[in-house]
Amino acid sequence: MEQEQEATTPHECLTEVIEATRSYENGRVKALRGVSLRIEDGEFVAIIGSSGSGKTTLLQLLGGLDTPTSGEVKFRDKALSEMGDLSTYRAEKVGFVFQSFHLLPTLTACENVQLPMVESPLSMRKREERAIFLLKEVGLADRTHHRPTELSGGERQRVAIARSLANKPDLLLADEPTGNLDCKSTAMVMELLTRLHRENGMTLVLVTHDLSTAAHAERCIEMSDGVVVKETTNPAAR
Amino acid sequence: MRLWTIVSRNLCTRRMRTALTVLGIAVGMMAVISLMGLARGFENNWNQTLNARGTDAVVNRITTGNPIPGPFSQKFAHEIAQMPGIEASGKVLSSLMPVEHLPMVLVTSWEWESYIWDHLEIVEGRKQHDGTELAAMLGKTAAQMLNKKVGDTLKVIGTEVTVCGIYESTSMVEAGAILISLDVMQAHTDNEEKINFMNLRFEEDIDKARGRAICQEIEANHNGLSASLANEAADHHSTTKAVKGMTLAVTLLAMIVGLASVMNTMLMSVFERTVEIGVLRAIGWRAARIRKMILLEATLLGVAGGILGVLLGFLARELLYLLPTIGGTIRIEIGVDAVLSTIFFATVVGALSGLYPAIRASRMNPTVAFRHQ
Repeated sequence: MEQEQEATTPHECLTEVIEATRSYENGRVKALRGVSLRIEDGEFVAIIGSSGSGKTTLLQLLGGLDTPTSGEVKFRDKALSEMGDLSTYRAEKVGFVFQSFHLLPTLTACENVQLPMVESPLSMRKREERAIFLLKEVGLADRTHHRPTELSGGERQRVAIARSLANKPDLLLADEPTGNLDCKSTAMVMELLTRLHRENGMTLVLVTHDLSTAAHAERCIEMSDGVVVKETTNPAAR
Repeated sequence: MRLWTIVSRNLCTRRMRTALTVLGIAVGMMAVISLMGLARGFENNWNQTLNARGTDAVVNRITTGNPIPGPFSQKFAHEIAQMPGIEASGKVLSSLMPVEHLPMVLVTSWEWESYIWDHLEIVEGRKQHDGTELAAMLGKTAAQMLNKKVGDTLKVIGTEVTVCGIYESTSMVEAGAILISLDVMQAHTDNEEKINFMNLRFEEDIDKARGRAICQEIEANHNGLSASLANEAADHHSTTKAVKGMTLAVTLLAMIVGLASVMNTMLMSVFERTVEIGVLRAIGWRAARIRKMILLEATLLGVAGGILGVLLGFLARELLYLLPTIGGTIRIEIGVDAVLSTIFFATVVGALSGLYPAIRASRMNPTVAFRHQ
């Protein structure tokens, strides 16, 4: 692994991947081959690499969507493997933004944003109020009662971002969030994610194959064939 | 937003599939509730008939599968009538047969001058002159269905008989029947000395326990005969047993069809929503909540099928009553208990059908679900 510039560690470690491997089909397919990674609290990290490099698998391990074949993933020094049902971890600590938005087509924007709060102790009214607040935050105050089919790609992704923020997560994971968007929407979504990171100090891990998108991040991790091959920092993004 | 919102939207979005599934359950439930109503109607009708006559017990041959029990020798009737505690008796020979344009009419004959005749209210014409007169009285409903009036002739039991009177009865069975005297019926149907029912009236001081004991004594002394108290007779009647057996069979069939139908719908729904369910798991929904969502959907299909089935049952009943050959002869009595039990049964069927799809959905791995797209 090439270390171009010494990364600074301004905050405590939020999440850590230790020698993680992930293989499929009885070990015939190796998606990750011993990846170690530390992400500090409040960092904006981009994971780049070509298709099949293992970046999405790494993101899924960080988000507790998948478990490593060997090695460990820790969140605030606690191993995910010791947390039992990872639903709570995913609901309370992590927010996900997907390339294909993955909004429920039968629900309105406001209802989609409330989905992660279904498990929370908040009253229905409070949930709705928070959903409307978040939609305002992402610039969709006038789209709260629109269904996904009535929204543009950029608007759908902004709804998805609002949904990911519903439970005030510590870690926001975005998998190719601009992959299905045009240039204008891409710029809008990246501006929104950067603003959320800067204003709220939210830890953001973004997977992309687009270098211009990755340029928004403070640290860029390049992966190839299941290993981290290069790590760079971008002081200009701080 | 409640879980209910997601569930109802899911069902409403796939309207055609939801409607077809609900209809599938509803047709089964319609059959179930109609048969339940038919059994109840028959039971009540039979009780009503015996009550109207003032009959305390009924004796007939033990038979299965035939709505009218087979005939037995009336020599037993003489012995039974002499038993202590019995105040009066009336022999009956009945048969269901086609009469003119009607495919099936109850032709019944009663022992001349027995107490059974006493409850009839003759509204037109007269009673037969004696037990040998080749004449028939028609129940009011039967007269309407056959379009006959006093003085007309009627081809029945293989011969021409004159309609001598029209009577009214609180019993629907009797109102739809043709009534002749026992001797005439026996002579014209090759049933000399044969009857298939014997009505008994107990002495006034005979209570239910003593009445039951008399019935047991009759059964003990006469092999092959069944004696039951009037209020229990309908339960022992072969028609009631047959309809109840049919109800059970149809209920089981409806359950199998309902289970297969809802399970198929829910499995398809889970398959189509693989990514959606994966997303819900990814954003923190517990497996139990996913199970609850799918189970709620399946249960809702069951409830809707049950309610629609009940409504179709009422509709089918009214349509059947419009048919002249059926309307006057059968009653489908759908009570609140039948309505509630049908809806409850459909709900259970729905919930059971949703179990496997719900478990399958809740075990879905989000990363595998995302690869499904």
